[in-house]
Amino acid sequence: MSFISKRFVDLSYLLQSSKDYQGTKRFFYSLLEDQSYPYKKYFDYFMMLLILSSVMLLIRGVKYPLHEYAIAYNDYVISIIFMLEYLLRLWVYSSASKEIISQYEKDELLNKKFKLSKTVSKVLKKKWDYISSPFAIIDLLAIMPFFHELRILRLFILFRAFKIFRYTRSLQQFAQVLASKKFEFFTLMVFTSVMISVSAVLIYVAEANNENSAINTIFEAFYWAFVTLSTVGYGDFVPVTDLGRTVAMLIIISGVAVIAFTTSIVVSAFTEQLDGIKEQKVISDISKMKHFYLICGYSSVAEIVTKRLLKDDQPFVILEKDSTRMMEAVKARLPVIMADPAKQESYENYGIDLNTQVISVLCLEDTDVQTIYTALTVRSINPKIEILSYLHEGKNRKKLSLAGVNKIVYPQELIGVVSKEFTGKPVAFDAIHLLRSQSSNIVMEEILINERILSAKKCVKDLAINMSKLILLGIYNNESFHFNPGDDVSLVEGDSLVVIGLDIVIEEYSLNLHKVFV
Amino acid sequence: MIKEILTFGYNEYAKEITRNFILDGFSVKLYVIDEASFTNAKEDGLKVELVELDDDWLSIGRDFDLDKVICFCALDDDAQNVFLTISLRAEYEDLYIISLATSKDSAEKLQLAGANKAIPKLETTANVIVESLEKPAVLEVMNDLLYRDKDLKLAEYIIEKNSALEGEFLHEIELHKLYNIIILAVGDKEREAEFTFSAEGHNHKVEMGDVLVVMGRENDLQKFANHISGKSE
Repeated sequence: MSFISKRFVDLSYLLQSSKDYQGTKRFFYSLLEDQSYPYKKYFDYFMMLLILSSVMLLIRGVKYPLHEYAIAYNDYVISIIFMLEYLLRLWVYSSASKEIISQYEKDELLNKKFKLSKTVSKVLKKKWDYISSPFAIIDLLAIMPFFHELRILRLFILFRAFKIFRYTRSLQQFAQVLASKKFEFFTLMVFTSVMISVSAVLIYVAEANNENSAINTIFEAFYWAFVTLSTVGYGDFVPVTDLGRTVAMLIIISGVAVIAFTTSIVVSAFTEQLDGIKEQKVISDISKMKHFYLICGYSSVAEIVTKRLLKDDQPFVILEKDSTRMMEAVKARLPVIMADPAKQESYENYGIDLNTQVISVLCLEDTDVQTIYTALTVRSINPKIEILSYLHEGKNRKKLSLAGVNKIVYPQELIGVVSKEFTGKPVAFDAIHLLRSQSSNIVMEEILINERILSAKKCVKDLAINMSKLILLGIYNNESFHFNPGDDVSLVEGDSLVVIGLDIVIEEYSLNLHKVFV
Repeated sequence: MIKEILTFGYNEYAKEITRNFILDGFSVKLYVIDEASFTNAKEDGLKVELVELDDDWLSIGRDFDLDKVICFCALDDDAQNVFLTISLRAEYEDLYIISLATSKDSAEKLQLAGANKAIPKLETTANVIVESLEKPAVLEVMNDLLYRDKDLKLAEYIIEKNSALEGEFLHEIELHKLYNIIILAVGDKEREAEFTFSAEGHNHKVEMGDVLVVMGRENDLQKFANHISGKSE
C-alpha cells in the first residue's frame, strides 16, 4: 500500500471512530434531512424566510435602486448561507470514510491490493449522485446570484423560490403525487406537442402569406397554436383564411380534450394517493404526541369512550384492522390507523412506542379471542404497561388475566351491580350520578400528592381544606380509603385526595397546592 | 320496602342482576320467552315462568303487591324491551320498571315507552372505562360506597318536622363533625334530581321534606340519624 493510501485509511478510521465528528455529522443530518427531528422545522422556517426576503428584494429591485446593504445581503449573506447548506448536504449525503474503510477491509479479507483511486472514484460517484439530483441542481442554481457580475444570473434568484419545495413537505407530496402519473402525463405531452406542431405548421402555411393575417412567422404560429389549444385564446393573433379557421376549430376541440384529460389525471392521482398521504400525516402526528391512550378496535363501546376522552381533552390513537370500521372513525375525525393491533409490525410501522408514548392500552375489540391475542402482543413488547380490556363472556375472565390484562371491564357485571341501586337510596344515587356524569359544575376529582406538594404540606391540616370551599371525602392510597381524615393525618407520596367541589375551585386549589413558596 | 324483583329474560345481564339481588336477600322471579332460557334458569334453581311476549301480564297484578316490586326488562333485543315495557305500563300505571338499553338512543325510547329508568349498557361501560383511566381513585371510592358491602356507606335522611337541622343553612351545619360524617348534598324530594351540594356554598336553608345525602361509617350514621330526628337525649 502506498504512503498516501495508508494515510487515507488512517484518516478514515480516525474520523469514523471520532465521537465529535460523527456527532456533528449526525446533528447536521438530522437538521437537514430528518423529518422527525424536532428542530428541523425551525431550520426550515429560517431558510424559507431567507428565500422570501431574497425574492422580495428582487421584486423591489426591478423599479427602485436597492441600498448597497440590501445588495450585499442578497448577493453575499444569503448566497453564503445557501452555499454552506449545499456543502453540508453534500457532506452528509454519504460517508466517504465509511466507504474507504469498508473497501479496505474487504480487500484485506480477500487478500487483494487496496486501490485508492478505485475507492475514491466510488466515493465521488456517490457524491455525484447527489449533485445530479434535481433538488441539488436547484440549490446550486440558487447560489448562482453570488456571481452577480453576469446580469442574467440575477434571474437565478427565482430558483431560490423553487428551494421552498425543500422546506415544505406538502409541496413535496404534491410533486410526488403528480410524479406517480408520469406515464399518463408523458402520453398527454406527446399528443399535445404533435397537435401543436401540426396545427402551427398548417396555420403558418395558410396564413403567413396573407396580408390581413397577423401571423407571419413560424414562432407566431406556434404561439397561436399553444394559446388556442390551451383554450385561453388571447385573440392577439387571429386566423383569417378558411383553412386557418378550420385548423382553429380542430385545435379548439382537441384543446378541450387535453384540458379535461389533464384535470382527470391530476384528480385521479390525488384520489389514489390520498389514503397514503393521510396515513403519512397520521404517522407524523403520532410521532409528535408525547403521551396517549391506545385504543385497539373501534367497536361501539370504543365509539363512546373516544367521545368522552375527546371531551376531556385526553389524547388517544385508535388501531382498527377493519376498513369499514376505520372509515367510521375517519368520518368522526378521530386519529385512527388501519392496522391489526395483534401484530407486532403494526406498532413498528406506525412508530408507536409502547414504552414511552402509550399511557394505557384499551382492548375494546369484538371478541375475547382478539382481545387475548392483542393483550399478549402488547405484553410481549412491554411487560409493564397497563392494559384495560372489555370482557365479552364471563367464562373468559381468567384467560384475559393470564394474557396480562390488568383491568377487566365486564358490562354484564357492571349492570348487575348498578341495578342494585334502584332498591335502596334513590336520592343518594341520583346525587352521586350527577357528580359523576359531569353534567353540572360540581364534580368529584382526585388530586395526586407528589413530592412537590409534600415539600410544603405534611399533614391534612396543611392542606387548608376548610378555607377552600371543597369537601375532602378522604385519601385514597393503594386500594385503601381513609375516610374524612383528621387534621393530624400525615400525607405520603402517592396519596390521592378525593374531593368534591366546583370544577374551577378544584382547579385553582390544585394549582395553589403545587405552588411552593421558598 | 322492595321485596320482589321480576326479571324478564335470562341472558348474561339478567343473570348478573339476579345473582346480585339474591345475594342481597331479595326474592327474584324470572320471566323468559324461550325454552332454552327456561331450562337454564330451572337448572340454576331459580323461580322461572315461560311466557309469551304478547301476554296480558295480568298474573303479575294477581301474584304480587305492585308497590313492593321492581321489574327489570333485560331481553336481548331493544325492540322487545320496548314492547315489553309498553305492555307492562299499559297494564300497570304505578309499576316500577327498569329497562336495559343498548345505547343512549334506545334508552330514550324506553323512557318514552314508560320505563322509570333505562340503563344504557354501552354508555355505562364506556364511562367506567374512561373513569378508571382518568380518575381511578374516585372510581374505587365510588364503587366501595355504592355497591360493595363495606363499612363506609351513603345514606339519605328525610328532614322531618322538628328535626335538629330544620331551618339551618346547609353550609353552616356543624353537627356532622361530631359524628365524623360528611354531608354531600341536599335534594328536594319533590323535584327529582335537583340538588344543592354543600360544596357549592350556596345559602340553602334546610326545610322539612328535604333529603339529606350523607356519607359515613355505619355506626356514625346511625347516631347521626338518631340525633337529627331528635330521638337521642
